[in-house]
Amino acid sequence: MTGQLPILTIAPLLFGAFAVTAGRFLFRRANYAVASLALAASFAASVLLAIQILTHGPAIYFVGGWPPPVGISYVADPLSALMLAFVSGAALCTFLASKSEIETSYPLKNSAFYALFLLAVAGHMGIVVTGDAFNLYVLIEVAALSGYAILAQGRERAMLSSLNYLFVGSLGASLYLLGVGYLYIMTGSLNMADLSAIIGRLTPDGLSGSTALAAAWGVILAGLFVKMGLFPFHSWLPAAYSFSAAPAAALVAPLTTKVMAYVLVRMILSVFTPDAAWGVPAINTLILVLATAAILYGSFCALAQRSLRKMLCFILLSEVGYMVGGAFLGNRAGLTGTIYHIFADLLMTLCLFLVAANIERGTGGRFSDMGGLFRRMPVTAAALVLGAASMIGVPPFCGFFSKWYLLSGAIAAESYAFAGALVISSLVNAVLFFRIFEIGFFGAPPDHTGQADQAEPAGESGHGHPGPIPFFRDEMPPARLAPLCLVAASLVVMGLLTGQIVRLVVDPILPPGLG
Amino acid sequence: MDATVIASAVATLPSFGSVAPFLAVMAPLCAIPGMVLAGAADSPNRREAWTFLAAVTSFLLVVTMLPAVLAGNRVEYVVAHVLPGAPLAFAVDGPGLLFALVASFLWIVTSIYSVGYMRGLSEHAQTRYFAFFAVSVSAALGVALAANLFTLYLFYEILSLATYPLVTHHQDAEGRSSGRRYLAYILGGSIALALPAMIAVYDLSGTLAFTPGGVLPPGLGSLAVGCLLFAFVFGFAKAAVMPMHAWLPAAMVAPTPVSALLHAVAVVKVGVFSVYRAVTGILGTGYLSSLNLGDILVWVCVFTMIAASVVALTQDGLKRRLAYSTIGQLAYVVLGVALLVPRGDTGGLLHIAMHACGKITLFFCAGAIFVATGEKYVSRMGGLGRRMPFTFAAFAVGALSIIGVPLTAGFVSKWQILLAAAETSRYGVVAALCVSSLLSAAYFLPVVIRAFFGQAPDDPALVGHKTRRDKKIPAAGMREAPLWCVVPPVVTALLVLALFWWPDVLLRLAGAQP
Amino acid sequence: MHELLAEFGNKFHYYGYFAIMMIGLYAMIAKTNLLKKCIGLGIFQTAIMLFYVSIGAKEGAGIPILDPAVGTADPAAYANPLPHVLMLTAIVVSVATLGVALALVQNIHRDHGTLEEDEILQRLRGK
Repeated sequence: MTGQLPILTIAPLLFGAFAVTAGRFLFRRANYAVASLALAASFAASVLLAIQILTHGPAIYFVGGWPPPVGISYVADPLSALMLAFVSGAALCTFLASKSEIETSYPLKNSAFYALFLLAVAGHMGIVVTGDAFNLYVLIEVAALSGYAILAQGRERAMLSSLNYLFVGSLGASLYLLGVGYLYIMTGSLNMADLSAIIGRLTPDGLSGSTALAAAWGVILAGLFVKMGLFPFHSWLPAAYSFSAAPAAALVAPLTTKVMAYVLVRMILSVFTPDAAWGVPAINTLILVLATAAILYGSFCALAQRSLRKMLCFILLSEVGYMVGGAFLGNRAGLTGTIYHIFADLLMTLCLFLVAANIERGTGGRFSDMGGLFRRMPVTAAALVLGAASMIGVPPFCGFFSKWYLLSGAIAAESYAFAGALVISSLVNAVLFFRIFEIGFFGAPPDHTGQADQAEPAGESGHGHPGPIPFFRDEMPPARLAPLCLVAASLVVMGLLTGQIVRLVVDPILPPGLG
Repeated sequence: MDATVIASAVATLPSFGSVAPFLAVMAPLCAIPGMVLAGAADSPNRREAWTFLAAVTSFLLVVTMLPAVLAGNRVEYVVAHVLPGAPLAFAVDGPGLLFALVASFLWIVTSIYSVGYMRGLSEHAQTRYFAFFAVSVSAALGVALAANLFTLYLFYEILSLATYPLVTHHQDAEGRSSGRRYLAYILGGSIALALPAMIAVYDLSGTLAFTPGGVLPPGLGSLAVGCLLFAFVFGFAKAAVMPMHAWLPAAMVAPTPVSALLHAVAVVKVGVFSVYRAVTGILGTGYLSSLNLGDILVWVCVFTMIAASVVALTQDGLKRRLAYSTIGQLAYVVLGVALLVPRGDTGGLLHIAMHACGKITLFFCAGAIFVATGEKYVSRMGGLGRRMPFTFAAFAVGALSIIGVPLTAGFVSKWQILLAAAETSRYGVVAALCVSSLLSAAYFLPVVIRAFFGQAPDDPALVGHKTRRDKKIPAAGMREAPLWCVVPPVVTALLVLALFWWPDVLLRLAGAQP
Repeated sequence: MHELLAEFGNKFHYYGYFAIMMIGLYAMIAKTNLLKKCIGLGIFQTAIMLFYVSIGAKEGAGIPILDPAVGTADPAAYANPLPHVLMLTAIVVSVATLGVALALVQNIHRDHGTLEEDEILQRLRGK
């Protein structure tokens, strides 16, 4: 049973997706329960797997019993096991928090939404756990295709934004596939462990020895950068995540960019090995410049936004810059920062997108609607404060520690432009969030209940009363708040557990000689 | 049961003493749920009971550490190993305990005062006020008891965020712009300067623990160390060394108890205490003096001291005058540290305590005047001393202490700083210290003299302006503020007098040679 | 010149797939009609499939599954079937992508009555 855990993390989702699709004609009512059960089962399996891996060491699972290099292997090491737990946990929280939102955003189609949601999660988890470079491509597309479909629902522009995302995303995935083709020409293998060994043999002194491998690395990087929305391949991201319905954004935004950054780390560590991956100085410099530009661009564009979710999307762009830059600083601290930030940013983005979903429903998502937020939605506002503190980088929130490692990596690598960009982005984040706090703290709610794009909720008649707003006036029901509070609290917990995470998860997978 | 069994069982438990700093920091936080619930149940008395419970508990916990520290021990407690070489840990030594004692004791007094002030003016959102007050005190204690720079920074940042709702308590346009300025300086300084400097130190030395003599590896140039020094001095903007001072007058829009505890004791003293820790525990006094970096900092402080005092002369708002006076007095502390001799540290640390007691008295009085008469401006306080004799007597004592007149606590610390300056043959600094004392006399004594001997303004409308109670400007007779507002300044004024005669414990904590 | 031609002749399939790929990319970037963009995406993906198929091809080589002796005796006569198999999967993926894209295109057409991206954006902005 424990030997089967790697596949058990994904199997419930696939069966769940099938069951929900089949059940839409028979047991509509049970569909939500079935989908939640599937997610919960997957989360439980992931947690068990993580515990098993952390106590007993890495495990390799051969799908269908075929050993590599013929078959596909699933590799569960500390990093992938923890990532599985985070991904499935995030999906579960989103799903539980969004029940009512799903029912209003996807009327009559919620079974389809459940199935696509489960498929998207399965795709992301497969990306994390697979040990086969081609299988990774297929799973990227599985995750992305279900993502396009659920992101297409929403405001009027969502459909077009999602289609653009589809074009760009398929392009990125195709580039990745092309790079894998080059790797295959040179090595004749698709298994990551195998690839790593052969690349090590072929290029004992770095990638610059082999043009084809360097080209493969370059094309794979380009593909991944497109998929994760690194500046200047970012234009699809804000549109796709901000026009869609809230539950889809709350699922896809925390997962996709982070899982792609995870793939980047995997490629560096498990396929090319750091020596080879950082072996071409020109590529490193170029990528650091792009990462720095991404951080600054994301931060300053975020300043220009007038709605919460759009602002978060641009912050997300600069967070992608954090992760990519850290991975190419060329030292242990930087890579530790990237890996830690994948987890930290997943939680922060999840927290803030859930907050955004609540605020959009409660007061309206534009800044001008958010007057009196701290009185109207105190719990959501508190979660917003925690998420913001983490984004700004206040200790002991997890965002501080990723910034810590990234900054010390940047200082050790003497890459002061990147360090400066990190600091500036922290300051801009402070400005961004305190601007919202000011509106929520000092402002008064707009006269009408301010939901320009959504139907006026029935029974709500809060028309322009000047007196003090009653506490909790627009707060969401506890079912939506409980997962949110859990996620917000986890920001602190993860921060306090930084030492353990780095020791148990990051250190074992980094090569021991890495300086 | 065998006594040895019990003894061994006790030995395996974490001893109470080592957990005490952690508990002292957590005590205020633990009371917050109680406060919020009591506040939600509309029962202010129960809410304030929680505040007092937390304040007294905290203070007692700090006091329990006193014997061990006076005996020369270091109390240490590690909460979490978050970063290698920089765990989240508490360690109590003399200076830390000195600051913790001051902050936790004055919290009790301020709580009494807060009750009188907030109820006297029927302020809104009192639950929020008391809750964030508790968070702030907890963070200040955390800074005092931190074992390393990382822990200190953690609580420093928490303090920055927790004081924002207190500074902007009135939620009006003025609060909004002041809050902005407050955060811009405090958060901007800590993120843009102190954090990179801290990471650079960590990168160079691999540890952030406060170590006598500093942690920097030998052989750094004076430019590098100088950058680190000024990144810390200006990055810890709560120390209000010019030009990072402008947030302090702006923050005076806060309710007076906030100004009293936070902007005379907790927040600003956290700033100078952080500078003290960075200079002595991280950079190392020996290192700095070998590179002659102390001199620059000394002159920055001297400039701040004189300039702030001159500006204070021009301020008519009493609280703004106090704020500029605070900026000047904080420069004394940094100056003491910057002299880079042990006596300078002693003087600086003592001044944290002595100035805190004096300045909190002054703020209490300013608040009491505002509660009783609605008056904020010095020029309209003529004759008020006859109506509020206790308040103004306390004010006079506080003012004398800030000036540094003998028989008040302020003299003790200023004397040490003066001696240290003379010890290092910096006679220019000695002269500047004297000038600064004269300037403080010039901006404080007129307030007292006018209040006791001056004429009340003729226009009753001026004085009756904005009062919550009906007042008819009695020519004579006492009209004090509510008792809750008058007792605290009197208590702290007596403390100021007492500390002149019995400063021994504080002196020993501050590291003076017996 | 001769060397250059020889180089081109030896690796002509690379240049071929690259040219096709660029045609697809051009269509995706430069065309405003959403359907044409879909076609561009299809061309782009097909180019990569051609690339894979071409790397599996070998002159004079046989297929091991037809004659098991081929591969074991002489590696030069062994045509690797794996790239072709991989491309079967990739074709499925590309069909699915095209399916989702067409579904979106259909919905957009239903909502806006046009498939020209600039017109749709104009309409959206006009509101």
